[in-house]
Amino acid sequence: MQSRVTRPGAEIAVYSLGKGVPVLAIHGFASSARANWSDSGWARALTAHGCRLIALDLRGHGDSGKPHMAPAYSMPLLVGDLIAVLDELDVGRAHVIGYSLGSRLAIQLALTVPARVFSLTLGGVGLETPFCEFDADGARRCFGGGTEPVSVPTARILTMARSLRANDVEALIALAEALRSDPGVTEVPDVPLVVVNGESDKIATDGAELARRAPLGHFVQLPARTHANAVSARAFKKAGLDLILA
Amino acid sequence: MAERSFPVPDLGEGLIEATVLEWLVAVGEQVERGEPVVEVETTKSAIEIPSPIAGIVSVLHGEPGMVIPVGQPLISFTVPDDEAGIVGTIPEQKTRRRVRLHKPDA
Repeated sequence: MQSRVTRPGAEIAVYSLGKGVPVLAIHGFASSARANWSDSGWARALTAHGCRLIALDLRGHGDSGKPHMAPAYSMPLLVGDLIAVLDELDVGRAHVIGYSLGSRLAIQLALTVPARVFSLTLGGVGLETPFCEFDADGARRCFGGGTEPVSVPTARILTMARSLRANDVEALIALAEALRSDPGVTEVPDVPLVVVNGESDKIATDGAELARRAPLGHFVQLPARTHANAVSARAFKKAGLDLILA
Repeated sequence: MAERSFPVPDLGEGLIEATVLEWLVAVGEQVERGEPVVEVETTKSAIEIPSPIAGIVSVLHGEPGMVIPVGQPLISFTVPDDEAGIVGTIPEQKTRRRVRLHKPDA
């Protein structure tokens, strides 16, 4: 089932699959609901275990609206989109799963409306975010065909933005620009949570510390996995299902 | 019994190959059609590939870490002799009734 929610600055594409325990799934930067949760096998795993998967394409991604200006991607708007998705589907409280940026937003959702969140399964995330050194103007010049070199963090984010053919790179640059001012995780929610990171994840390196600061948190490391290939790991799904079905 | 082999499917996004990350089934296991059999990594991300048929796994073509081009063998199944053949054989058509259209008599 697919529907849309009208929000300031963007319409949000919403997906619902299966019946049962509601699980809100938030994809990562430059990805989409389908790539992050369906292609990776999560949708099948969740629905096979009595869960209702609720997913969205974040603004700037997938089938959702894609404004090109940074103010359209403020943290209050991004978190507000998530709350609107739950409201649209009449879900009072949900387990939340996320990957990378999706995990960062899941944490912010739990801090903003703790009564709406049962638990957090957080993949590919730490205390710091990868956007704090992003050079948006440099990225725009580079994307526009410029030859001036950009910093490694900027190049990495621009490469991610270009990874899916359907991506709107200008929208993703604007989102990354907005996230530059995010200080990262400064407060950790008081809900049951698990952080699951690849052993070789070079983008989220302090996940164990994030879990340690959570009153009800634990950390799972995926041997040999990177930031790019952790999302589909069986052990990640197991950690999430264990928490959700506990 | 015979063996039927299936290739790495079209992964979209112009991808030409995938790296085996983790097998989700074992040789000898009975799997259902649509059940995930392997996790592979592409230059974009990581995905699960579902089983194309119901059957008993006979060969897993590649260790974790190996790169397999799209179109090359990924997994083989043991099947009854009359089902073996070209990959992607069209299933036998049920006999159809033929209807001849008659021109109406003037």
